[in-house]
Amino acid sequence: MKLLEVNAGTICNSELLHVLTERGADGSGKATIVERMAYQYISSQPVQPLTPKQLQEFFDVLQPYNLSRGELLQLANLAPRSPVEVHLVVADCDVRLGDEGVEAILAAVAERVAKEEGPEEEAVVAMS
Amino acid sequence: MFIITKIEDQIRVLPQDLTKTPVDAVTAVIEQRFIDKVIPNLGLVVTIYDVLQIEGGFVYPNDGAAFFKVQFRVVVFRPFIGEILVGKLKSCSREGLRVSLDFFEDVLIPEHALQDPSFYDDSERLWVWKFDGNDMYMDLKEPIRFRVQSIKFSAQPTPLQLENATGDDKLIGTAAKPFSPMIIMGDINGDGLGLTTWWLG
Repeated sequence: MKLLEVNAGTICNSELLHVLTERGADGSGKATIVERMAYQYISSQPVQPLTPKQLQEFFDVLQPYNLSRGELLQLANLAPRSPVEVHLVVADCDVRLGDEGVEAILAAVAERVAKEEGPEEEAVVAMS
Repeated sequence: MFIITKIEDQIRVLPQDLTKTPVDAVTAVIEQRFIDKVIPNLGLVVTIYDVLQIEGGFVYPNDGAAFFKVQFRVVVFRPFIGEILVGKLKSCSREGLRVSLDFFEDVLIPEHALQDPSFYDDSERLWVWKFDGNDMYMDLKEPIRFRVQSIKFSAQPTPLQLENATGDDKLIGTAAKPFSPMIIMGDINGDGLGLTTWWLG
């Protein structure tokens, strides 16, 4: 067995959900235990399953804040609802984002990524 | 949390499966060989992403099976150091917490990595965080947010090691704590970490 490319890319939970659904992990087909458990884990998070287009839109909205790939990935996976969670994910949060940046991120998350919040009105994200 | 890894391997398809299309036959074998297995120093293979290339199909003498050289991609569970994850508290012991991520059960939070100051309550057999005079109990099955400190991979014990191991050896494990090829050490010492209910609103 040869590992041709150890890290050919990161995949966020929403994308993995698509892959697992295609493999039948949601009960519609025969999938292995670990696939079904992974599906169950991702579905139980308070994060809405996003299409690739919605995911790209979410990242585009956050583009001006110069977040690293790892930080964007974690924001998409965790859907923070409070400033303390954003501080956990983004390093040097006070210096790079400040309060308005954190508010903007929370607004973007609430609008696009978080689950069970009901349809939010189109919020204009304040760019400082 | 998950990365995609490209692998090339010789896949052996049994003669009875040769009526299937090569992709299906090869996928079935890859499923059995890779999914739910830990690739040393990489991570736990969760699912197949796609099959890129199938070559070969040669049948060697004395073996009726067909060998294909396959390039495919798998999704591997491999969090990076410092990543924040959310799991469910599975069990508490004097040594710390054990967190479960449904598909992965070997996340350990050692007692020195808990919020300061935390104490082990013997009667309830739970850990308690004494914050501002309040007793915050770490109840089981609660969602818990932790930070990945390190990932440890251990090789499967060889028969010689098994023979020479003493009764209390961590190598072979016991029924209560079976051998784990991949262990994630986490910490919950920081703002926002620990039970998610502690930081709501």
